[in-house]
Amino acid sequence: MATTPPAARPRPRRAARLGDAIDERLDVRRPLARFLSKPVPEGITFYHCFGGLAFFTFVVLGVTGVVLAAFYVPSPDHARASLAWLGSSVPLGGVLRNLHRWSAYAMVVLVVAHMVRVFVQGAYRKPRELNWVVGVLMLVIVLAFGFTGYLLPWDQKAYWATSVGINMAGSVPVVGPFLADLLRGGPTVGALTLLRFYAAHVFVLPALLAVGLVLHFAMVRRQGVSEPL
Amino acid sequence: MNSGNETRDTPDARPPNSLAPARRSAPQPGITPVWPPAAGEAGAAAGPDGAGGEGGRGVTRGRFLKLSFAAAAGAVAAALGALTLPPLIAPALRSRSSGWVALGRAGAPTPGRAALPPKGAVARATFTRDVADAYLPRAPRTTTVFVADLGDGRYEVFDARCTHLGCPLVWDQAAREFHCHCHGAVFDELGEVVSGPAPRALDRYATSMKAGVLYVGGLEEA
Repeated sequence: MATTPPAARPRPRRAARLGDAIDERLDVRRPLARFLSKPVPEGITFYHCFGGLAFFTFVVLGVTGVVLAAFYVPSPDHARASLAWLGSSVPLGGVLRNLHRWSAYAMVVLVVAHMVRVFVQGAYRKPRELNWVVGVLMLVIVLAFGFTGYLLPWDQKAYWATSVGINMAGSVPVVGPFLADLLRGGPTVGALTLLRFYAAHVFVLPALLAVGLVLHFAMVRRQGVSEPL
Repeated sequence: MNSGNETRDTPDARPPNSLAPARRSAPQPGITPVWPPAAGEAGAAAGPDGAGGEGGRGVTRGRFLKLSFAAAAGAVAAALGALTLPPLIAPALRSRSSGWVALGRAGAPTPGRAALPPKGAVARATFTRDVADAYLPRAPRTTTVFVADLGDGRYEVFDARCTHLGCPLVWDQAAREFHCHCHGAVFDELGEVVSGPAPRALDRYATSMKAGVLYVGGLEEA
């Protein structure tokens, strides 16, 4: 309609203008540019991708886990029924659940592959010892994820696997019996065990792993990727 | 060999780029900011330094990688969304369960059948039907309604919830009105709004009279 005089300079795109406005107030582009334009040493191969792929499975597990949490009931009465209903009556419900399951398997495999790569290439050596330590702690967290998640379907396999696992904890000298009762929430595997494992699986362990990931990534950014030997 | 060498000089280390003077902290040697592009440049496709010899507006390696990463991330996000949204949305699309259920018999009550209100009267009534609730087995659920005898064997069955925000209604026999005690809505004996915040008349159930027994069906919004 209205004819606009030709501008001397093209008006920046709307998104760019929004970015300018935010940057003017918060000064985010400079640190972001530093963060995003980190050089990597030569000789980076696909073996260096295991860690990132493990993180990718964590993202998939987080997304599918949140949706599963909207269907799963952590109660001995309803755990089985709620999952059966998810698989039979919810579109893509079975796919969702199995995506979570297979991502969990893949995460353990990728975490171990990442660890092997770091070990074989000696990338754990000074100055990166601390990151190795954080990584090993996160390996324990990932295995704890697997152990707690295994009980949630509340079937025979889950019940007996958890019984065996808790009995292993119970064989620790001195504190073992107390530790086992603490994990079970009593003398037998039951409703409290399921709730404890559920709470650990969806609240405690994700928070711990998130902290570990932040530390892990921050140290990688600070120290750079180690050069292959 | 194996040191934290973020400040390693790369062979293609560039001269201080045009952004550098504007910054308090100079970029680290060996790190060439690729984003944001300097003001006044042709676009993100060009290198940050005008003299970079990147070939102007063509697709640079950095831009190609950036777009590839964005495409891959977008594909992953789309796949996750396509897998996770249907399960969340599907339960919202379920149709209300209905089906005809007997509410009462006109005239005198018979065993197992409640009596309907006498002519011109309004009475509270309940009916029960099995309702499926997700993973729970189908279980009886009782619904409260108000039945109004309109004469000529015609009955109106009102939902007992206010059309404002769903609070239960009370029948005031003296005033011949329905009152909602939550926010003061008032409906007359035909379900029409008398006063208060209710946006529409009372919702009714489909009704059917067979052999002197009144059946109710699905709920119909007024």
